[in-house]
Amino acid sequence: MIEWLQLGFMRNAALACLFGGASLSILGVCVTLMDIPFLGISMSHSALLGAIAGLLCGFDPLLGAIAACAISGVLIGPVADRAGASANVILGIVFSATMGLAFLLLTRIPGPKTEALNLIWGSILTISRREVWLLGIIFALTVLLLTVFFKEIAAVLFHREIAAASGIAADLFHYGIIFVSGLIVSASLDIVGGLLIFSLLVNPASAAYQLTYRLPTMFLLAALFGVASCFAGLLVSYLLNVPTGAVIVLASSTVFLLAFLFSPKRRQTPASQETP
Amino acid sequence: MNSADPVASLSRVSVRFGRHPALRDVSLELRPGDFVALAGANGSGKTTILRLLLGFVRPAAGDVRVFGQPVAPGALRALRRRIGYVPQSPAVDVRLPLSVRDVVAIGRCARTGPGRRLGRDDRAAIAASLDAIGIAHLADRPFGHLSGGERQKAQIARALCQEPDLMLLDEPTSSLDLGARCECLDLLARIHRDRALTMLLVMHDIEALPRACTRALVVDRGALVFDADFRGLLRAANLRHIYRQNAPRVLRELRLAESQAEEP
Repeated sequence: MIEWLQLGFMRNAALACLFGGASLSILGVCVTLMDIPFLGISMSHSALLGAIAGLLCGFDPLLGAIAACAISGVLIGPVADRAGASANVILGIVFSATMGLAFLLLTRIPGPKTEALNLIWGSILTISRREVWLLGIIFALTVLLLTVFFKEIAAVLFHREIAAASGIAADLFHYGIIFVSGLIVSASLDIVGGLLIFSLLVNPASAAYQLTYRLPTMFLLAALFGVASCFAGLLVSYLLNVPTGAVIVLASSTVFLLAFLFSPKRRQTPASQETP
Repeated sequence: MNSADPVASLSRVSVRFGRHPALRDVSLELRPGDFVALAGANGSGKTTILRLLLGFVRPAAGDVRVFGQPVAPGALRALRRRIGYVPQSPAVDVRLPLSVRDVVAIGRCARTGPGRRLGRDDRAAIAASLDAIGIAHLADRPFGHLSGGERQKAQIARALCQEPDLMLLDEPTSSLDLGARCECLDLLARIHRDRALTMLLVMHDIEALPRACTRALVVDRGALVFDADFRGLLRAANLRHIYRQNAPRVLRELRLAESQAEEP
């Protein structure tokens, strides 16, 4: 059963599942509670644009993807605030603009476009040692930031203005969550690809939400579900010779369905739903 | 700042939202220990005054000071640490997986400092606030499972937990039924009496204002039109700023309610 772990590329893929699955799902808790699930789609298309720009201009596509996501991450929050618009509206604009520009540049790349297209569909089995290291560093950074600033993050998730009114640097944490999400999404694109990364952001966090009323437990369960979905996807795709990214998405959707069906919340009617 | 200095003041302040004037040449002071009711019709500028004091809105003209310091970008976080803020109840997302204790603990974040865990003193302050507000038995309940009145009590406990020098409350009873509203306002009156805390309470209905208020302010279309003893507000001429042509009827109902309340 575990002979697949003796293969070098499978070991890399397994580590990528561990680090990427956990980081994306932890971030997914913030993204779902902030009600900005489109962040994943928007960031993945920024990454695609950066990678294509890298291929065109002759620099590392991964660096291009990270740089583009970092720029989007820095801009989205403040632009939404200054425009007086919902972050989802600005995410929609960034998504469509980066997608349009990415596909325009894609036609300018001579020859096969495999490297760029891998970012759309994912190619976890070809992930390199360097990318695994990067995912490991980002995972460690995510856990460190969450542990150190947990109470500030919880306050901002509860209500940004109340957090600010209590003397917390709420804008810094709000923009910081969006910025870190850009880094995580760009580094994790090889796992399921830009089009499906949305599922790893939303599904594990939503499944965890079905099972707990405690924020620390929600972070822990989401990370567990994210890693389990990635491992299940990797194993099933290895055994049945089917695309890994697609199975990871289906596994995380199944986890959500099971959590929904067995959720203790469905058996209770909170006061908030009884009274308008 | 000495004890006679105002806790907060607006001096000839004007605010514009685009081309629309939200406040016009408003001057007022909150003195230590004041329990001030700020009343006015919807859209009159009450919440804008409160948001000016928190630094969420910047004046187009005039001077805003809290604890003797100008409310300027560089000083905001230090000033806000000393202000307890209770927003309107519907403003909070109740789906979040946070317990009542977690919500009250937000009030300790700024005092503890970023990156530091809550200590024994913080936990004691959280427990004391829950106890003072009478919701210690709800501490481990999910915040979203509370009734509207209980949620507002949790918000007041969060603000108190901050050990503020000034409390700003923005229509804290707007979505509550009559019983919960009276209970919440009695609680505020008790907090003011026990702690001599300076409080500014924004309400649009003056019939709900606690009689414990030491002063009343009325804003009408962005201008401060009344600043005097709370009893003085209960005259038709003054109520007209809030209720327009319905002022005499509201006054009759208020007097009727008061006379019935005094009957044995």
